[in-house]
Amino acid sequence: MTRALLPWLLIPLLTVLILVPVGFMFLGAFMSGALADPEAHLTLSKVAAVYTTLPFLRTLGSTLVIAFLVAIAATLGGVTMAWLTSRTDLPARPIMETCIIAPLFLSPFVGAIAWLVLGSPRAGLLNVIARAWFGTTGAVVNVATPSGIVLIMALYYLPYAYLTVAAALRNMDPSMEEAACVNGSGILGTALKVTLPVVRPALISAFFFIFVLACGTFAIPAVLDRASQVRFLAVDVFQASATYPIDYGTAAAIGTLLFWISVMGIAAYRFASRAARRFVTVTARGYRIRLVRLRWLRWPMAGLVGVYVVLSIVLPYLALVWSAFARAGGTIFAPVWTLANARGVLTSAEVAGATVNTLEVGLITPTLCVGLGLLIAYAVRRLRVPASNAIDYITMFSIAVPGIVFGTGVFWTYVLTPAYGTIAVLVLAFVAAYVPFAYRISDTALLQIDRALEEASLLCGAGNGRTLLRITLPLARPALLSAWIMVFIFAVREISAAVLLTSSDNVVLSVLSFNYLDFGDVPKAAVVGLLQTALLAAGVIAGRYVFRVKLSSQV
Amino acid sequence: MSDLSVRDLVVKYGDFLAVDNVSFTVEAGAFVSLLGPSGCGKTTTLRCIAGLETATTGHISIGTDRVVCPGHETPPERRGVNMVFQSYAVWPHMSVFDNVAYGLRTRNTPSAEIATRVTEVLRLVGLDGYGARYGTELSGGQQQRVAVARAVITEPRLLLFDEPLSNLDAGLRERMRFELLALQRRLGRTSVYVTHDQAEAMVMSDRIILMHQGRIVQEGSPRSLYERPANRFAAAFIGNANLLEATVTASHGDGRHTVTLPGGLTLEGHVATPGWVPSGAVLVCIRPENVEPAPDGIPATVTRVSYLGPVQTVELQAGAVTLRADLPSRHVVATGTALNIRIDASAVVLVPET
Amino acid sequence: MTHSGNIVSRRLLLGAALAAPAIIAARAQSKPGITDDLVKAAQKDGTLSYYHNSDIGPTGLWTDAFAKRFGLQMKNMRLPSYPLFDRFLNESRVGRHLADLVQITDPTLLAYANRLGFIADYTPAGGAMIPGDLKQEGIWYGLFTDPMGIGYNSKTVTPEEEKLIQTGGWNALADPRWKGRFGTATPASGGSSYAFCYMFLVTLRAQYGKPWFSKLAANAPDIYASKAPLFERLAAGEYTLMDQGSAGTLSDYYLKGAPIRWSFPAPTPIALTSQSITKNAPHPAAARLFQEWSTTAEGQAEWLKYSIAGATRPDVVDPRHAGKLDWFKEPWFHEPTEFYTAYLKDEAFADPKKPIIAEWNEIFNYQSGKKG
Repeated sequence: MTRALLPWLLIPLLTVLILVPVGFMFLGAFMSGALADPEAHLTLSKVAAVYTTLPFLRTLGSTLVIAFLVAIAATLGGVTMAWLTSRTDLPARPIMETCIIAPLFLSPFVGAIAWLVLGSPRAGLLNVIARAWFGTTGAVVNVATPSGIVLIMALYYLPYAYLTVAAALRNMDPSMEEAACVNGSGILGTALKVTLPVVRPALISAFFFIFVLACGTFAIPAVLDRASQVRFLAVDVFQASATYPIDYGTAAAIGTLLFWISVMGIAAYRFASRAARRFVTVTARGYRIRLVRLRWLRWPMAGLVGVYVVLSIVLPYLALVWSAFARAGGTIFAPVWTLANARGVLTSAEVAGATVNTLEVGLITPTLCVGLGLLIAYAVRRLRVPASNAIDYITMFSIAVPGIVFGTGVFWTYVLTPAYGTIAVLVLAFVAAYVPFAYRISDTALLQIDRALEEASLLCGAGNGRTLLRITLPLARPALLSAWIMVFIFAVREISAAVLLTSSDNVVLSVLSFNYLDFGDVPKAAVVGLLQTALLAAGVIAGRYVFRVKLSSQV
Repeated sequence: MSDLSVRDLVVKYGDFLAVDNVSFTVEAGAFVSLLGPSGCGKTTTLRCIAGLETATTGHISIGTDRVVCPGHETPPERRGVNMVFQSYAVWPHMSVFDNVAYGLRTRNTPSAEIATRVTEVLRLVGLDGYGARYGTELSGGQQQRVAVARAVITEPRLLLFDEPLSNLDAGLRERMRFELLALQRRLGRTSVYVTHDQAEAMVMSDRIILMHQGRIVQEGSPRSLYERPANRFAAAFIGNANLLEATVTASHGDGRHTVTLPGGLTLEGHVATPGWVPSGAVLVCIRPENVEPAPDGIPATVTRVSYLGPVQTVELQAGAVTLRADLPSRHVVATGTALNIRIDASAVVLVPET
Repeated sequence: MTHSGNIVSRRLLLGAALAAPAIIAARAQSKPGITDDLVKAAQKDGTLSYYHNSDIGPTGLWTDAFAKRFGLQMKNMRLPSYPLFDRFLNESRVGRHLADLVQITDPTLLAYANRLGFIADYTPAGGAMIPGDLKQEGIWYGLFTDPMGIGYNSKTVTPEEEKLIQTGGWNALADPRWKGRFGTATPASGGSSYAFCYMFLVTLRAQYGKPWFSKLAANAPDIYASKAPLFERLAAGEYTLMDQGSAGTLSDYYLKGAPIRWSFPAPTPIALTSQSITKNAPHPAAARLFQEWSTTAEGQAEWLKYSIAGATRPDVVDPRHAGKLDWFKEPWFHEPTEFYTAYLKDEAFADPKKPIIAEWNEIFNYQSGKKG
């Protein structure tokens, strides 16, 4: 019964949530103007320009190169951090883990500005300090270079790799490592020869995942690239759809190009994560985790993690605190502190409203998203409903579309419905945008639950619904909670779609900070960034210590 | 009357035929094993009976209910069957009591009755006083008992076992065989038991259905399968066998024939497969325990001896023929020595290749 | 085209002498527009949905003052100019009429929306006080002006350089001494940037044009794709001076204590915050009342309490100016003498192809997705 009916529920739902907005992108790519513009007509010119002319193809090339470098760097960094915090006796591991994912709390736009404050060649705080203390000349650090952009994007995406790989490492049978140790391999030898190959599939998954996400990032290159050294398709999408003249057709055409790249990435990712499943076996016994003793390397390794924490969290947040609380006239050596910006932001009516809206969106979105993700995973993986493959692919589509283009599609989908202009439309857009994450995590969680546990329930006379509720849900709970936290972070932080769907009634903090930035008001945007971080940190800390959520989970 | 009837069952995965036209019945109260190597389709057949796998075509009836027939599949929760899984599938997030009570709660049984019945069943499986424990705190054998208790408490029309003992260590496995059988006899539930362990199937079953490559090879009592293998696979899979290629040189009627082995050795044997008239090249099956020392027998040389305690397995070379013999340990035999043997005509079974 | 004809020379804000009395007088004068009937009808509408482009905080305070005065409820939505306009246009096209008023810093967009039939024809009583080049009668009314000049970081210039910036006109920007010290934003980064570049590349092409921009490009500027870091880094001293410096944002940084100063070479381009009533306003009376109020001296004076800008009514003057407060007291500060407003009614300016973006990109060797 359920098995036959579920596709009839899921396919229309996913069609409205994901396929229609994506469809609007494809339609938009073939239109000369906005969809509702009576003068707009079908044209091949935008698609032809994007797919065949040199400027776009050059940009495509450099986008792929940058995304590739970012994915490599972030994955290598992430796997190192994951190994250190989940397999070794590194000091202060629990705190380290929270620190490692803290970069996720900042929206990329605010994060990029923080880096500009730190590392612009002349007035960047790091350069100013280096000149004063060490008498250097010129720029010690310059983030506004191609390598700076790649490094900062890598720092920013490292937590994604970390979360994926850490879960795989934790699920690995330690006896494999033990066997290698017994056979005389050193710590590093064991890590490289045994641990690494075992988590290689998770690593490949993380790589493709970051590659796809990096292709769609506009904020970091847009803020940091000041001399047009880095060409990035997502920046073109942003400029075509948010600055003058608005050229949605070109934005959509680039969106379709990114879509194909991402779909290839997803296919590779699916392949790699399928391979990953062969290795991940969780038995009821549960492993006694034996930690690798780093011995003399313990503190140097702690230092390595420390360097990452300083680079990706301490410095950017100090820069934000500096922007938010230091009076613009002071220098780093003689700062004049002020609460004026914070007071201005925190006492304003718009911030109060936006905070409430952010919390509403931030709580409803992950709840619906994880519910839907689990339902889809259950239908596809367990019930193997008809059209499972289609459902599986459609669910992944939204990850393949740049946020701003997807947001435009969502706009056209809902503009004539009562949801438009309300919190609901944001929730719908975010659920659609983030359901791939919730789905993937749920799917992996299901794979790790012995099917017999659910079959036993069926044979005891419980139907699929009761089985899902009484058996699957409680067993998948740890993974689902970590998915919840992840989507919570995304929903609080998301900008692109939120801006396109904002109204007087559903302003969220990220849109507010976007509007402050539009007026060049970096201090206020910094205050909002810190406020968002406080909300997210409170949520994550509550999750970790109240609900005992493990943050890392296999995607 | 049969409690289970499987007719023309076919399960296809793409081009792969997992179950190829399987039909059998199980009488009320019987304990029937589906035996075969991994991949033979036995588990798939069992899962089709449970409703956990979809039959491509075929019919399955439980009692008088047709649960699988073209265009219809009764969902597993409404088939009135229950199953003991290979992995036990004890829910780790529930106590033993909750695990066992689950099926009753699903049926909205009053809680007082649940308490009585769960206690009773736990006593039956020897888990008295374990109700408050969690699955993960139990040993493998204890989890196995929880799984059995959870299955029998729903009073299924059909009790299914999917290799339930294969994860236990050897000693415990042997003890559990008898316990499970005793329990089945006491409850009188019709049972279908899947295993790849022929010894387990022999000990426990009223009847064994031997499967290979998705088909039923042979079915019957343990003794008939052992003594009268239907083909090479059946002879090799059940027990140990000397399977020798031979040629029929004379037929004596009454199913008795003279065969010549490579090297010219002749033996007298009989046919156990009804309706089969052998001629030309055939297989000869000789169980190792039926190769006996006899001073006036066929001369042979001992090429290897493995001492197993009660018996010793001796490898012999008789002309061109290599034979395995299980001899009582009290005869001391040494490698390289000569040994004369005899094989009783009743122990020489002619078997078709397929 | 004759350039001098397009440059409007006005005595700016120099109604200062009239200041306070004029406001009182103006209130009496504008009364006829805000009739009891209109107020009643507006109150019956109850709420007012306001799509605006001006800074979110001050606008909220300003509209709250209106809402309190007339007992209405405000629903404000703020977006950057082009996303805001695009949104309004698309909503109008599909018949989802949510906005009562649209306020945007580019009136050519409002004129374009009017041609599409999405703007209501309404003449507020106060409109008569707004100079003709800052309104299109019945369609859009300019409310506030934000002049754009040269912004500089006072810590990184010598007195001699400051003198050059303050007195050298626009050619001061072309001086080779600014090599590696100049920052700018692409004309695609926003409507005011586009207007700024339009003056030099189109209206005053003969005088400035490509050669002038080429000299700016030769100074290897830091080119920002968005305004926020452009201003923030000027305040931090990353570079020394910028063009297209909006007085509103520069003075905001000044008030935060940043070492930022500015000058207004002539002619000074302005961004004009303009406002129209939408054709299918869901709360038409409330919309009219707001259009009336925001063109009164009272409404405009209220704005100056919260924000830094010039009012379009000559009789409304920034109290800081009158009191010589903040930067008005600074010796380096000079009022703009001549406004560039011609683009506000230039059909070519509204050309959706925006050809000068491509030209600018070429001059600055700046590659982006915009290929003109």
